[in-house]
Amino acid sequence: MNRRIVRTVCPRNCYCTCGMLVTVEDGRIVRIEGDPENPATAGEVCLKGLSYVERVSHPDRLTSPLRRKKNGELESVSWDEALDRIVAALWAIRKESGPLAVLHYEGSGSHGALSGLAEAFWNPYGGVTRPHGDLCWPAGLEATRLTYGANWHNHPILTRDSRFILLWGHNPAETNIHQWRLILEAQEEGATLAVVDPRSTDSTDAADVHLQPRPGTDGALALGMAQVIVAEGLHDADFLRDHALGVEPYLECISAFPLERTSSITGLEAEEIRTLARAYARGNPALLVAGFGLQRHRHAGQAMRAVALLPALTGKLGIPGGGWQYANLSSHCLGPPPLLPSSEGTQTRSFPTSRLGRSLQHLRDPPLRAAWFEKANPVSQHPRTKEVIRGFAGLELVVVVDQFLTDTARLAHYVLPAKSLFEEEDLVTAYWHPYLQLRQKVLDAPVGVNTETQIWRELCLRFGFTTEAFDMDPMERLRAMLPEGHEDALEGLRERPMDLSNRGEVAWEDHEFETPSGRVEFTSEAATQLWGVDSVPSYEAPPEGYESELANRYPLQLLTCKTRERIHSQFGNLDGIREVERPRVLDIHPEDATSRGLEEGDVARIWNGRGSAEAPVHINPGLRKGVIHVLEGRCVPDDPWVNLVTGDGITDMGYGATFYECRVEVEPA
Amino acid sequence: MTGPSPDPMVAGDRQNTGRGRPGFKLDLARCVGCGACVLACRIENQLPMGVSWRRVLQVNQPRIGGGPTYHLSVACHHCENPPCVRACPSGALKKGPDGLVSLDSGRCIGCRYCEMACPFGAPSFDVDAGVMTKCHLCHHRLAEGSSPACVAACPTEALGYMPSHGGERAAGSKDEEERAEERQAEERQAEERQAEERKAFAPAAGIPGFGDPTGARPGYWVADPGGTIRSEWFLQLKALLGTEGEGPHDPA
Repeated sequence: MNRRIVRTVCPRNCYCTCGMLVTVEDGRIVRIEGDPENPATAGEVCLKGLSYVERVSHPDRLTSPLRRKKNGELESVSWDEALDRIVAALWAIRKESGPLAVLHYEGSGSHGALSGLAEAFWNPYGGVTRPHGDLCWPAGLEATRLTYGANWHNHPILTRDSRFILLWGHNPAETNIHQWRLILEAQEEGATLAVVDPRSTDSTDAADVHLQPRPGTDGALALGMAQVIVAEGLHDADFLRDHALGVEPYLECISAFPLERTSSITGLEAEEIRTLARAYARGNPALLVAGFGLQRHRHAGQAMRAVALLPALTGKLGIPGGGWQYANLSSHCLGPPPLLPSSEGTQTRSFPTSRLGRSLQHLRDPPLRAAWFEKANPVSQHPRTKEVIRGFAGLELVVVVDQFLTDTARLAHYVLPAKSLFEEEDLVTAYWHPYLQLRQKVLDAPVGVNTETQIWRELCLRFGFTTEAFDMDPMERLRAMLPEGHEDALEGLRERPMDLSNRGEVAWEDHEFETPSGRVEFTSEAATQLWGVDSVPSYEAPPEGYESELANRYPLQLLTCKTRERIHSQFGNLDGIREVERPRVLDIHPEDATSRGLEEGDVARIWNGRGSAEAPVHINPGLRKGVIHVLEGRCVPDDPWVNLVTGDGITDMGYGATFYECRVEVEPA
Repeated sequence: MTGPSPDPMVAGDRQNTGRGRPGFKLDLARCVGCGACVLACRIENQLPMGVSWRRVLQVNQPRIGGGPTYHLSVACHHCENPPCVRACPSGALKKGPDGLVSLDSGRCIGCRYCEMACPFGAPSFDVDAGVMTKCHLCHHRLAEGSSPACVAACPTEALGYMPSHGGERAAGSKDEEERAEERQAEERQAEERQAEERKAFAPAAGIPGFGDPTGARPGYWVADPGGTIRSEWFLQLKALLGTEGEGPHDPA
């Protein structure tokens, strides 16, 4: 028996980005374990990481290109046939309408540095239309950048040193399991855990303190907490004097949020807010971890600035076990792939990604005629999905590259089978721990599957473009993308994950901030110049908030959160996952259910002016009244299609999406 | 708590090992019910769908009374006095001298009596093969010096493997007085722990929604020999659930 163990890394869009050891026997993956050399993810992977054993050789995995027939069915065709037809269409569209009539959409289904190779086709093609912004997290990234100058934070293992942990809009017990282990260890050492979340989750179950504000009012809560902290003298005056910019206007801003007003906006008891503010300010060391949940509404950037300033106000930065945690981009140090053809003279055009549906239909000069989707499933994941589907209907050519027949692939003219993570080497960065990891090749791709690298190369050959970017040795290509001075790191990366950032374990230990002023910016002129918002992190009620006019017609606020069994729409088709997956239900507060005549197990219709979706009712007293919840990530046809209901708003900064700002009504289906 | 068993096989076990028996332990404060243990077992032991040697139960899933949901990862406990072995009419199930409750599928007649007798529903029927299957503690991994696959895969390290526990009882070397003393000491420790836990909640006391209204923090959970679940929180939860809602039935 031929048995070997290969070190690689999970490239999914997830905090953990686990190092993995893969055992291969006779060409088949038989076991996946955590890489003990990665200090953040240590010796285990999660449920999804284990499930690759099933996923990589799943009978539904695509191993042949598919073409849509006139009757809508998909049929197998050869690679040559598929690529020849695609190239003919791309050629004609460029000739008639120019390169901008084509959309190239690359999602976050799989992370890796090789994605930059797409340029090697689109640059000589003359350019292409692309989305900008991101569906997930950009408001928080931009808010952190404006406040502190960069997105990084303490090494995850320092969470253990914390004695007060405040999780805000974050559910690591389900979505960042390795962080959860560190939080449990801190708790075992006596740390207090506080969670701000309108829902009850596995994270709130373990919390000592759980506040359930109205969704979208986090900015007001943060300002109200700051007001308590300053009024009671719990702020760090020395830190503010030496390391902060624009404190006076900020103090004026928070003075408008006395407890009574904060309480009335957030729907929390004044006493709850005061207790949390005091406990956080006195916590030593105290860590504030913000998730993505609180920045999925229109005024998310300002709210995130208000929350992000709490650690600075109380002098908790640069301390092991303290600090501000949102995203750690210190592993994002790679250059573009080598030998890319120049982008000089190419045309570019972009649109905010949450507006995909409208853009597919309404972009002019030229209108979009073709779209190429890879690592993405927008028909499941984009807000206002009906508009996306309408947009697809008007396209002459839709190409989808995927491993499985997703909702999006079903609507394509051509589906090209994609490689799995095990079938090509790549470099993978993370956004929670600081490690760059080498995704070593474990297996050859199955017969009939080509890597994206090969697909782009084939397109270049057919167009007569240079293929030199594709023809170099794969490992040499990766080496060339490493940061200067670290060209020899590739050998080390075979043995272990590496932190190439030279930034140390404690973020801003020296209190040197990368903002224009070198200080923590309580008042940010850049925020006003770039995004047209107040220079202080003022609070504004969300347009679809509880006091909006819409709330009369649609009294419920829909949240569409994530859980442990999937990364968005991936993994839900695997038997091993489905066995342990909890049912996808509509969580609703008992009073909201009773007043609508809904009982446990009934099928409910969730609707608003944008569309409707159905889901079985689950009475959940752990929710805040007035808030309902359905898990996002539709993967199989029975899953609730919640994005038919969500809105395509754009966040105040970063061009993010506003999934959690969604008013609905619910009725028996 | 069972007295000395008249079952000669178990009695023999007591004489032979004197070290207690192997088993799993689960830290309820750490288990988030992610299911990695279930899948790791399936992969390691190449179980077909429909057969599962480990399950994750959710207790108080509707969070009745604002109390938390607990997750119970359950597999065969390799009980000291296993009801499945007593129920097996063909001798396919055996309690070995190493404490392992094992199944000889060649002798299994597929009657499923063991499945009914087990308080944890641990034996799993393989419809295609027409025989029962069950956890064998990944003895092949133990032989290599590693832990069972479910334990190795647990990302929060909630699930553990104990090569030996309950030894003081199994060894039968202590008299009733010693046991009573030990029980009292255990009870004292439990009371002290609870007092400390109550203190930990003190800052938030009196504020609605803070802390755990059942007063029961998740604790250390091991099935007792004979299958009794000893745990304050469990009894309190059970009282809270009353006849409504779903919870595992107390096997005692």
